[in-house]
Amino acid sequence: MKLFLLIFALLALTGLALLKQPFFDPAIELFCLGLAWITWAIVSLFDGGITLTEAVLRHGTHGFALEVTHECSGLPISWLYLSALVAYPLLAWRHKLLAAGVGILLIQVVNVARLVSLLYLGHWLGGEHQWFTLIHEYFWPFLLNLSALAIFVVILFNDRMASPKSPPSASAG
Amino acid sequence: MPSLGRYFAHAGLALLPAFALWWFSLQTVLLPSLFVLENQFLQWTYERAQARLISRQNGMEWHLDTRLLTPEQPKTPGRIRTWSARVGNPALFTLGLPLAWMLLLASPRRRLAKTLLATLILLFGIVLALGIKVNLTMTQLLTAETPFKVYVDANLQLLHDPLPVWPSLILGYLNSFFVYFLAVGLPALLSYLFNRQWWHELFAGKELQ
Repeated sequence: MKLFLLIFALLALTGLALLKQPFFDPAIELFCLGLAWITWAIVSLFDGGITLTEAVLRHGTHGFALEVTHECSGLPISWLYLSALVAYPLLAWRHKLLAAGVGILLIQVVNVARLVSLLYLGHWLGGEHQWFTLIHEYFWPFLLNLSALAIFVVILFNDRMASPKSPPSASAG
Repeated sequence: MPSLGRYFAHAGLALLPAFALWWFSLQTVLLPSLFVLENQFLQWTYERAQARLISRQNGMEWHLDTRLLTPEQPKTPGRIRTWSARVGNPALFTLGLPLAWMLLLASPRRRLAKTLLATLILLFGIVLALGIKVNLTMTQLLTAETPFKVYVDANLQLLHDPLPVWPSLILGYLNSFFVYFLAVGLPALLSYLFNRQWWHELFAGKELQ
């Protein structure tokens, strides 16, 4: 347990510090562009009125606009999920690789759902509405954190059930 | 339904009530109490700079005000220009509370006691992390290039030379980590520690009452 926490803390600290470095800005911007494009592609299936200009999704030409910035990328929580996975001792490395891919994909699915919902909530309520602020700045980050945690637990549980080992000691450090 | 599914269902039932309770208590109790505590710590730590916190937007924005003079001063006699900085949104540090409440209220036994204890532990962590954030803002301010002057009892005094950059860099990285640790890491850790035996039995494939 102590080793898991130590490795997790070191990886998390390092990753979160690296994500703030200017060196990674071009890569993060490219990721945000990709995220914006995927969101636009999904929304276009049922709403042809959404336009995409770089990383900005907009209703029509003058409607509510949503820019996909670094804060919308979901990368910090994805990194935390990855750190927890790498630090977890009872998972084989090839399982960790698979779990990393599946987990990050699922986290980004939730993130895209977040972007779609904010695009329409902002259009209906207005970007300055208190409910929009509540959902944008607090409720969705809360849900994203919860989703990452749930994905982590479910993946570990399914791996445990698929390849049962002797149960770890309750006093393991 | 498997036990994990039952656990998620119980936790899911508490999702909206936990979030609503957190939102309601945020502006009525949490943020005002945190503001008073952190403001007091700030004033004790930076007494000569006469630093203090200012709350705006119903407590959702904190700013830091000092009596440190900027290099450029107004030409109008009797007016001074001082350094101030934006601390940020303190509510983000408390986002782990509804998650902890959800997870602990779904505990198999002694839900209320575990939830209350987890709340106290989280609140302690929030006070520490907000203290780091406020100190980070102050150290970022104190790395400005010129030596700092301040009026103390109507006398102009030299406070100290600018701080090196590395303390604010380190505090910045720690701050980023603590925001996420408090939001998801610590609630998850407490949920595991308070129900350790149950989680081990669940992962071993045994159903528990």
